Amino acid sequence: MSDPKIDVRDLSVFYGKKQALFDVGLAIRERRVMALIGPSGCGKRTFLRALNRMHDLSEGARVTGSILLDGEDLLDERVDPVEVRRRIGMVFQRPNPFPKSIFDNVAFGLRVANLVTSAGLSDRVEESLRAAALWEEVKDRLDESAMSLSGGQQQRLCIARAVAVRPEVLLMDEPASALDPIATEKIEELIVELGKKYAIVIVTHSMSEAARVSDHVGFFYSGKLVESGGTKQTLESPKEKETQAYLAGRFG
Amino acid sequence: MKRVSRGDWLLSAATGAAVVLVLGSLVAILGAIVVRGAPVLSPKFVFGSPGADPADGGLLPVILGTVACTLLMTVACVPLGVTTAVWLSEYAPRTSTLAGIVRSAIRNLAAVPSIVFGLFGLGFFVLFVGGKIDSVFYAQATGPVFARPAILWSSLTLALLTLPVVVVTTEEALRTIPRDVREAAFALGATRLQVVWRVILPHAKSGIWTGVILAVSRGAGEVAPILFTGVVGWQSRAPTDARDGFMHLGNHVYLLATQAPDVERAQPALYGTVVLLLLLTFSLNIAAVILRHRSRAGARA
Repeated sequence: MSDPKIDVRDLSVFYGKKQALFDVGLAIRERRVMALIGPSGCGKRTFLRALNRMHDLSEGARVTGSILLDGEDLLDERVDPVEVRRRIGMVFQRPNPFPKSIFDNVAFGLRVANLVTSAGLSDRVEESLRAAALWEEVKDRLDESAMSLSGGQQQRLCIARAVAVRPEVLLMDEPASALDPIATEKIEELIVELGKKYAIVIVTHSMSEAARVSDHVGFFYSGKLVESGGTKQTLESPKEKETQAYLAGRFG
Repeated sequence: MKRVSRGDWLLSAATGAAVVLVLGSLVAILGAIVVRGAPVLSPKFVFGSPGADPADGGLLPVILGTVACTLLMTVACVPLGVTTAVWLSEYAPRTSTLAGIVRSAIRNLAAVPSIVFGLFGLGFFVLFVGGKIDSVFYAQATGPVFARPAILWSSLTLALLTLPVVVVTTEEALRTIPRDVREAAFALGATRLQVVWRVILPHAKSGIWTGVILAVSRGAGEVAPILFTGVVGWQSRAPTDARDGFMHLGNHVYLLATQAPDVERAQPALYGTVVLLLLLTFSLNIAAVILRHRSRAGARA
């Protein structure tokens, strides 16, 4: 197997004195979808947010270990978190478009990074909206407020916004949990589609969603990574007894 | 039918009485002023130049002075207040002692009587800052250039007075911005400055305008802070330089009531001036409300 896109080693996260994540090691592969599952408070979101250094924004949070992106440690203090976030995009649980036009939402990351000339901007916006399967629905109303879109459309807009800067990895924090079943289905199709291009890490509460979209899963429990492996194999015949109990619905 | 309990009846009676009292006094105050003041508001009275007796009107330079002073105040206090609020809410660590000190300083500033601002303005801006500018840049001048009461110093003194309003309302507006939105911007690779400039401030625009409205309402009517720092009782024209003295409607009311050669004869002019002061404050307010409304529409678009 080739080298992983992201190689996480001994990752621990502390909030103040409380340790939320214990020595997690996990490899995330190029062009694969990795689903992080586990009960609430198990540390999967804490893990996800460590990958693009979102913990830098929370006072009192401390991260140790290493996160190697193509061999470069993202936790090295010389690494600029702004640069990290440009390479590792993120989609949040609730759709959170800016109260700006559809176009300006998608262009936001490009503009702050000064990535493309203004001439190239609209091409890149179109490309990103197409990648998020939203272009056909919004191409005639790019100047309208993103707030006028439905929840599912807003979430696809947030995905378009994230892919516009052409990140290397995409993090998704329960991207479909606030949406209705039809919008959820569209998002899931999109994740599968994007998984052919990017390394994706998705946090999800839904086992069936993990089964539908992911190639690998990691099961977290009490701040530890209990088990990880191929999705089908792990969900059907888990090795560890915590995983078995969780999948059998005995807690969660 | 169920009887209305005595407590309910008392409460609604008390609420009703309070409404009547508040509305009644508003109508009484405004009514008395408008009835007595409106008849003298001729174009000559309002837009003319002042003559020898202030009872004859000629308020144009007074109006211009008031507007100029209020606008200068706004220009001075809004950027400072917004910057302070942004620092408090976006940059200062939550447990920061410095932020705590700044917050309590702002609260205390809001509790200082306005005449104290006037004295401070005289001591600090006019004599100290003005004096320093003069001694460094105008050492050859025969008289004081900056070290004398001027519209500049009055506006800055008023700006200090209204600063807490702007800081508090802006901070409040910043606090209502969902964490999600900030995180979305950071996650897209925005620097903190870009997040503030492109997301936080546009989001808080209408809250900031509310602060401006409150500051203008407060600042336009205050006389005590400008009393020693720049206002003059009589001059023939509006200020053309930041170092000029200026006339102000609020101060003019005081003059007409107490300093006019014939106080009895000045009565109509007095009420006319009060009407103008109210009109001016209202229109500055309405202008700010319209701008706020536009910024809201803009945020939604």
